[in-house]
Amino acid sequence: MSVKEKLKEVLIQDLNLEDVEPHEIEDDMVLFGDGLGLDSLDAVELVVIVQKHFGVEIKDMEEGRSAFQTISSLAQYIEERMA
Amino acid sequence: MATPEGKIQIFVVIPVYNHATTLRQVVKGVLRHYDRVLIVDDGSSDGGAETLTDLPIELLSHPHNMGKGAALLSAADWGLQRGLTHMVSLDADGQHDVEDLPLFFASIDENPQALVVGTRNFNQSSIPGSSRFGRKFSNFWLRLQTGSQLKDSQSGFRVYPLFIFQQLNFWTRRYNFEIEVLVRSAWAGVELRDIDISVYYPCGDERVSHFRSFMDNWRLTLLNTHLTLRSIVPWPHRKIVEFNQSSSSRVKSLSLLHPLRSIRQLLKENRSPKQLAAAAGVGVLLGTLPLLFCHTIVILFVCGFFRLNKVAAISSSQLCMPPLVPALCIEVGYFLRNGDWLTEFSLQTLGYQAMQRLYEWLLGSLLLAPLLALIVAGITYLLATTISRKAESNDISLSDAQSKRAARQEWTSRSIGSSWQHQSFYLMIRLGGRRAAYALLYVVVFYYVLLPSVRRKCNYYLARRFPQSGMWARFWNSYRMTLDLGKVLVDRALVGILGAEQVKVDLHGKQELLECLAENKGVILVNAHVGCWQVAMSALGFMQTPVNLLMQREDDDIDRHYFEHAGIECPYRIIDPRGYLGGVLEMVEVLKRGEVLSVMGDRMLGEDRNGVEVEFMGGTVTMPFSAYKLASATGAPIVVLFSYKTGSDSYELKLYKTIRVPSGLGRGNNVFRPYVREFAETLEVFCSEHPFQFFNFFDMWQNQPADQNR
Repeated sequence: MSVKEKLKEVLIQDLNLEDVEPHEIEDDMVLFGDGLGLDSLDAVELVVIVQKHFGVEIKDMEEGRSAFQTISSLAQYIEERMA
Repeated sequence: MATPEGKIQIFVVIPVYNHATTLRQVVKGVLRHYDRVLIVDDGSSDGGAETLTDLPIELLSHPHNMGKGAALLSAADWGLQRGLTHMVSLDADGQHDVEDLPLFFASIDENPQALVVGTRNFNQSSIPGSSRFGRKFSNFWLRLQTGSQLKDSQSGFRVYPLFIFQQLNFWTRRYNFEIEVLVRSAWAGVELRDIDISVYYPCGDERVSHFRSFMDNWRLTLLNTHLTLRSIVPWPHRKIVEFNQSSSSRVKSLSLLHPLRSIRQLLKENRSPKQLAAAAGVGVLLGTLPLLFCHTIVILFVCGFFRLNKVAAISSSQLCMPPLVPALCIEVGYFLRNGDWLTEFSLQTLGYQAMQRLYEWLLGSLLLAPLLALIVAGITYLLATTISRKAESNDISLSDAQSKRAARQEWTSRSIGSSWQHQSFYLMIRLGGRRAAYALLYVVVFYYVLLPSVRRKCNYYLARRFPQSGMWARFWNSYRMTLDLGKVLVDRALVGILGAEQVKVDLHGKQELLECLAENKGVILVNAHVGCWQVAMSALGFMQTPVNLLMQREDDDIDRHYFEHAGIECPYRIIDPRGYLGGVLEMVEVLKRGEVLSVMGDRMLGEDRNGVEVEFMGGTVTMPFSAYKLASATGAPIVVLFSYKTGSDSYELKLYKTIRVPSGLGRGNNVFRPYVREFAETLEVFCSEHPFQFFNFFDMWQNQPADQNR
């Protein structure tokens, strides 16, 4: 399973996104605001998710900001840092 | 030369000196709006006037450059000869927008006797800072000399009613004329008005300005000196009347041959009861301050600036003659410094220690001057209204907008008092330490609590905390609560200005706090607007861990944190809630590093919509729950830490409770409610122990009725 697909699954699972299937989430969907509609508190959860499921820590604010744009950008960020 | 039936006849004048490039365009623009246009060529050498030969204008020429003032006077003469009544002047450099002409014509219709000055809109960023300063400077002098406030005294786009040129004599002829005409007209009783106009200010060298010459600035300085000196002489100015009256019915002037009539005349200016009371108050205020031989001059200046009756002010300042009032001030100052009264009067105390006495005079006067001024002003007002039998309503309430904002949870301690009020407390602290500042506080707070709007703000909470209290008890409680807030603000400034030794802080729960830190998941401190968290925070240095605050700082905040007073850098790291995603990424990072994060738990912060309704003191309030989410996600414990004042120089910081939020609670605000309720409960406990240290001066419950009769 690719990182992107796993990411979509854990997102739905850990964030309790009801009525959403993994295939419904598009790769270039914006995470915060429009698109997936996550808010700042979900961001907290997201950091935990990325740490828990992928072992990747988001150290830098600027990095985190660009990583959190879309599913694709987050997946790419994770792939780059996975050991 | 009076016009029959006072019919208004206007003409537009454009004085020009070497503005050939823009002149034609400006003139054509004016001609679109009006047909009677006069150009005054003040000895131009660039042939600007020749560009206008085909246009239907009138032209006056000076043989050589005589100055803008001379040009305007020539134009006024020209107009008076033709029986015209009003002159609209604008500049030839294109700075003025001819589309604004109709505004001036309209204002002539409304106020035919007024001199109207167009206020240039300086909000455009292309205006250089030196221009802005120059304008403020000029406006200040105008106000000082005449009491009139104009927003743009340097603007050349104006309406001049021509009768002022008939009856007043002007000394200047150059750029300074534009100021002299304003001042002498104001002295003569002509109304000065503003209207808003737009401005086009070409950048840099595109604008041909002749103003920056040394001679012009020198001339302006000479003029201002003369006008200012004249303005403080309490001899009234000759008032002029406009057109339709003959010269024989002029106002009778003052003379030493008619002393009684002269005094009555002097008393006649600015004599409404409010103005008289203000004048008397100002006289006593300035008379009490140790201005050392300058009292009279300063009083005259201040009266000119604020349009107060000079005779009343000088008379009331005589009440402060030595030795009584200075002696009183010295006694008060001595008491504030030493806690005891000065009883020994000898060469030692008054001679050798004269500098000490002088300092105490200053200190005491800062406290007594406003007090005495208020008393005298009050008495004067009562007498004046009784004598004149004119009732004027006093309005001392705070504005409606402020109370509405407060009810909408936007009240903060930033909005108590204005900048100068805060500054005067800082001054008292520097001069006399805690005692002096507290002394001033007792008086000021009493005044504040007399205002019903202030008491209303206190009562939202007090009604719930003390449901059985009667009217007097509630008044007293409001006083105590506001006083405690005042003391906390003063303490904050004390620590900053005079150093941290001013306040002792005792920490309860040190052990528990250190144990939480040792878990290495970070610690979230949740505070509330009680006691003085700033002072208390300074006690957390022992933790040896960086403290990060979630705080929203406004640019125009007037209250300062203690570190700003001390001129040191902020010892905490500030996380801005307006940052990306409300700063949560930073907050998570802080906790992962094992540091301390501090947030406010009792009020929603700005745009934060992450709030949950919980029960608090018999009603429901909305409190933020982001901190609890963070705790749940990172495993950091929440520590409820409250501070409270225990004595005049001591505080306690107590760890009331540790709240642990389990992980995996999911989304949504309701899941956090029980934990927020734990916090609210803790706050209720605090309020029962320290009822007057709770500083939320607004309706947290948003108009839910408390369950007792008010």
